[in-house]
Amino acid sequence: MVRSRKGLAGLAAAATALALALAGCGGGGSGSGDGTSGTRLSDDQQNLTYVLNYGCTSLDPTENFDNCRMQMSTNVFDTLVTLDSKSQPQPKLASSWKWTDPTTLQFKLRTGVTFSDGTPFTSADVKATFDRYIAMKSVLATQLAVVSSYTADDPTTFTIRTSAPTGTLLGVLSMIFIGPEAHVNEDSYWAKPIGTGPFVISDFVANDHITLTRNDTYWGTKANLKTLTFKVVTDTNARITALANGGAQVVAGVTNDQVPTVREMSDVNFSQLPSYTYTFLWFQNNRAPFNDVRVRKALWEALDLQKIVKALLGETADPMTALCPSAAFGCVPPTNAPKHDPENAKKLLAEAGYPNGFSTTIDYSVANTGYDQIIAAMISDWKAIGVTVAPKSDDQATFLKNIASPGDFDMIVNSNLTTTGDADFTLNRLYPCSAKRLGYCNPKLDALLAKARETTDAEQRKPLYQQIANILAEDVPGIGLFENNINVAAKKTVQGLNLTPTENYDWSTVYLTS
Amino acid sequence: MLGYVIRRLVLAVFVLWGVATAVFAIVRLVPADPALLIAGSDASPEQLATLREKMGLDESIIVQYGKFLGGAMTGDFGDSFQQRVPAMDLIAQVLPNTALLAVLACALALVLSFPLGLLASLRVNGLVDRIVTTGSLFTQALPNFWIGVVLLLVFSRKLKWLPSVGLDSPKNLILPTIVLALPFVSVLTRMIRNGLLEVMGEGYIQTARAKGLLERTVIFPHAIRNAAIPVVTIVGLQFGTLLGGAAVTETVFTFPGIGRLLVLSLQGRDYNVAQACVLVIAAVFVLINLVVDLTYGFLDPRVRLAK
Repeated sequence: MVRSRKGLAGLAAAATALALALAGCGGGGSGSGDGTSGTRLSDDQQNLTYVLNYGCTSLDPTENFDNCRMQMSTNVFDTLVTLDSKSQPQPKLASSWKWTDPTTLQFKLRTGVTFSDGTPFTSADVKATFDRYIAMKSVLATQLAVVSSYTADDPTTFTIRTSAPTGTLLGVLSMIFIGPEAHVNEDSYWAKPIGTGPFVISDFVANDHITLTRNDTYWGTKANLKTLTFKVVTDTNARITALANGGAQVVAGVTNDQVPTVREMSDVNFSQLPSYTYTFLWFQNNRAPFNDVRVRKALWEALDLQKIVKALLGETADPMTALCPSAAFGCVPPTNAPKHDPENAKKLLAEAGYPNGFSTTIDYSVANTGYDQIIAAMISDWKAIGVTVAPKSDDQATFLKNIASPGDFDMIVNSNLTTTGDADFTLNRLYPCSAKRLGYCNPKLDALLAKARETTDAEQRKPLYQQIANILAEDVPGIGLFENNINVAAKKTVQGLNLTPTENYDWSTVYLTS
Repeated sequence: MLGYVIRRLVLAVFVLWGVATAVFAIVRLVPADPALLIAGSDASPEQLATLREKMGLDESIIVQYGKFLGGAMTGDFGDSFQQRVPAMDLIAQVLPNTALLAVLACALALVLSFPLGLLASLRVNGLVDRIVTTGSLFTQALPNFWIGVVLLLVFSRKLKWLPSVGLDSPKNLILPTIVLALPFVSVLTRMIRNGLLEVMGEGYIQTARAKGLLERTVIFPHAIRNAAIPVVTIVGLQFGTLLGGAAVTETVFTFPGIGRLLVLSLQGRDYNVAQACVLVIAAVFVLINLVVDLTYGFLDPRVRLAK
């Protein structure tokens, strides 16, 4: 009954198909337009505005890995390696790498690369950047905890030693953006950082816009766009208006109610792709009545997620049963997920000592458009089994305080991104005992998560993640609600945009035609 | 006169101190942690502690308050938590935009309301008068954001005549100017109409008519000039309101002004920027009030003699 999801191969095929669709009938990439796509605009007219629903609070990716910083960093910085659409590492600033033993990873760095201010790139920059990420003690620093030492052996050789074999290391490194040694550890540098990437930052206003201009000294294929503006418009209607009147060429986050409008626009392509973004519900597992697994399971069985997601989100999202999105590696649906069964839910509640139900609250952020309706629908499903749930909508700042460790909520709904495209990033960060996020602790799960991280062979990791998914479905620390699709509308004049499940696009290949 | 000015200035300082204290308290009373907004919900306690230290939020409230007041006196409100540049730099970037919008809205309001008010006053309870007075009540009753959204839908979405977001060209100013001017037009029109009616009953108008002057000459130099005095006061005050009160309109049009900066800084719990915005808006308002009062004193000797 769960709609089957495409595997990784299917995902890659879908990504390619979309790239082709966005590129018109001509081939993707930066080839010049042919008969069906218009003529390429002159360089002075290569100015693109991409309207998003979220903004950057700061430009420092070493501090936090939110969508906006990742989007900006992907275009301003380079990483040692980059993940392709199959989540396989590809060379970037590193031209090659090899595991010299199970815990030593040696990189050969690309030569002839300079930062946008002309400073040559060397292994010292990589080392200084690692120092910064670790000193920031951010969430990425936690991902790097397995790194026991790193050395810049010579200007083009960089070596990382880990405390244990680590299958996820290259995925984590694809998120480490390399800055210049001279400044990367200064806070002031991050007000307007420079990198080795295809664009440079020319203007930034927090939560409003970032303007990038082409880096004319870029070491790789230079960007086609002269300027690229990421503009924040939180109102869905206003985003579509901007697309309609030429204020924007590409718009992210098209909501279900706007899909027909966008499809009707004759000069616009609407594209979708399963993403690494998903929406979930957490229980506060050490707070009564949620400290009883039967109560948590009853609340899950009460929900008719298939119906709710289909009715309210249509084709913009798909229901899920795992706690991370199926587009990511290792995020497999549990084989033992509870089915929609209100009768059994009532029985479970009675067994747990709540034959007449109880009253509780559910917390969410107003920053997440459309949550009001979804939560109202969930509340009515819970009402049917006798549980009264009061919705609590908070502004984003208040919401963050509630969801941060140790977690001050009864139930809470949020969306999240499996940035590395690997189950480890999400599951091993949020659900081990040490995470202290939702009062959940199962040492058996911890052991499996650690084992899955250490295993370097992908085929051997898969069955481990199946076991992990099943334990999570049995313990029900939270409920995976739905996987968000990427819902992008772009003018047909936009060519060469390749959508990726991370939503961090490489804009250097994009150009505009008439 | 000098004593009057000094009294007003001392009062202004107290008003600003009150505003400063209130905004300092309010931003901190709203729940949430500015560090969490920057570092995210997955941040480690160590990272959050470091960030709070950098923002000066690890110090006691008294020390924070002292530093804030001390800095405010020299115009230094500290750095934005998020953008890491001085808060006043951010305000300097957007305040001219808001000022431009306020000037345009005032100008449009004056240009529209004088003829409308005059037309309405010529025949009281006539058709024109009824249309103008009803219309002005109607437009004043409509909320700003609603007018903004409707104008966007019509002129940006459907007709595609005007841009909807930002300030990339002078065209971006048209819709927000209209939205801000509309309620102002309503107030001014009715004020000019009533002012003219009142003045028309005065003895000097009768004298002017008795001298056999043309009705045109009676209205223009004689009546309008006198009816305009209270209008000056209202325009001054309204200009101050427009400078600070355009937050909703600026948000609807994603317009880079101080109102939107204030909204964003409050959402982002960027205390220093929010405090600076509120104080700058209050200072402008107090200053304009002062100038209006003084101008009034110069225009009408009775005002300064009464003090």
